Amino acid sequence: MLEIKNVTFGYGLRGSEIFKDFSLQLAPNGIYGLFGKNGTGKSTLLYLMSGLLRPQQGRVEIDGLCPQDRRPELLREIFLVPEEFELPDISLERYVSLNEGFYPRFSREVLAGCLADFDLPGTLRLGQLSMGQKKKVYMSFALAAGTRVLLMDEPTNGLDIPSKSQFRKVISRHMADDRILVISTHQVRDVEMLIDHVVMLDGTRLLLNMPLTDIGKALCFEERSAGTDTSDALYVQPSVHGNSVVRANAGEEDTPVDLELLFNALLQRPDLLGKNGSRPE
Amino acid sequence: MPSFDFRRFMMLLGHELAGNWRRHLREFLVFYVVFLACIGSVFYVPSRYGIGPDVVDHWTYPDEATMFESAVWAVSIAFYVLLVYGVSLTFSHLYTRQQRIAWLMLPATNLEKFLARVLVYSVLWSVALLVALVLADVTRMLVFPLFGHGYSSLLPELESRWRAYAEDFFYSGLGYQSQIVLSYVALLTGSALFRRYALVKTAFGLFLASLLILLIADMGRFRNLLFLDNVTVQVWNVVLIAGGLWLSWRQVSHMQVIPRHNSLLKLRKRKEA
Repeated sequence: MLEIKNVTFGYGLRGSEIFKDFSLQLAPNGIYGLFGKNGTGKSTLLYLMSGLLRPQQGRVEIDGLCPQDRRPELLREIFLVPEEFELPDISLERYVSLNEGFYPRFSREVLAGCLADFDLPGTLRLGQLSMGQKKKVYMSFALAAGTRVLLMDEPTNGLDIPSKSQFRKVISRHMADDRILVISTHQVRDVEMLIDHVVMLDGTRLLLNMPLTDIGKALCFEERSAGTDTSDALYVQPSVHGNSVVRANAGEEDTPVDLELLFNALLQRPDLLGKNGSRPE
Repeated sequence: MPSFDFRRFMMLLGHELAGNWRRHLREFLVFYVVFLACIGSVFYVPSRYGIGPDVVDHWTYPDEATMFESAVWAVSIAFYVLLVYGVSLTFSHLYTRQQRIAWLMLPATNLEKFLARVLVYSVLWSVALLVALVLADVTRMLVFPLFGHGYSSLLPELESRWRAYAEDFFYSGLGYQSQIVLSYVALLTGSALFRRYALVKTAFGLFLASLLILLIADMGRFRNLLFLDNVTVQVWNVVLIAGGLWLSWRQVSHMQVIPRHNSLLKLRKRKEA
């Protein structure tokens, strides 16, 4: 269990806080999509979760341990794939042999499987790879490390279209039961078929923390042609075909959740799913 | 307090050395070239034209002892500068955000990570310097005789001179030894604070600090600061050494991936990646 308890954090002087009395709980066996506008603190939240930043107030805990203490027994259970990273100019085999010892549950089989899914050979020279290839290799290593908490910051940035599909396949194939996977991204289309929990940030607050299935039970997402009645809509935005509409789900069949539409709707109407993420008010 | 794991410490050393072997190889080549240049600059003319008063039309050394003395000085200065430079690189790997993330997220204790870097850039760096020095001298002995005159190895003379320095160090008293340790700690602290161009910034900082002390001490009542007795100097040295070690340790162990603007001694805020 990853718990963020009443965390207040800011980079600058008082008054420029990124998070104020912010709380969040993430349970194992969940793939969490972390969304928010630019500058709302998605990367900062990942850094707080991994212990790379210390909150001014409050506490972050992973199974009762504080990642800011940087104990090896907890660090070996957390892996962060940052948006930008450096890899040394050595072979992949050498890189693995230098790093696998730090992760007791590292699996070369998982690594080989991920590389195969990404259409990458097992023998690679890291310094000669493109940015997208490095990202695939690094994500493969991250999954192979077998950590209980895996944090990814904009993992699909720099990946071509086929690679994004490979990414979804790799994640779903190698997601472990006791793992918490948090994917922070602007590319909602890349992950909406992958995640099962939605976390949305806005300013210093948590806008939404809800399973995708519950969102689908509470709301319907529809495309309506221009001129069609939208009086039952909770939120309407113009689209190519007319209007994209969010309305309450009156006990009907669940519709696929349109994360982009949901995000825009929540920004306009933060109370869309109620204070505790229940049915719309 | 997490326990120190020797196996994990060795993995960290391997991670640092093997993961950055190209950079370390480049550094070693630089050592070799520098020592070869120092030795070569002293031995070239004598190797080509000889030494002694019989050599006319070219400046050369009056005798071998003087020539070796000059070579010892040149090599010693180069060795000292490169050694000091190495200490200032101890925490240079923490300059960019990406580097900080990679290092901070490594599953090892702060102490293991700290000591691994100190070991590489103090002890192993010194060993690499010595090896490069030996290779440079061997190169000189193999190549320079082709110019006309050959001379014996510089190493015995260097060894006896450095042994004398070491004996001075151990027998000259705690004050002198603590000054040397203080210099090392100052460089280490500078590396932790500044990370990039740490040697220049630390030297400049020490220069400013010295100037400030002299200016303050010159103000009448504080003139006594300039004439401290040995005991007081040693006490100050110990305090500064302890303070410097604490500061460098704290800077590294409490590091955050993105410095906060209102943190103490966060001297680089916006320029970092």
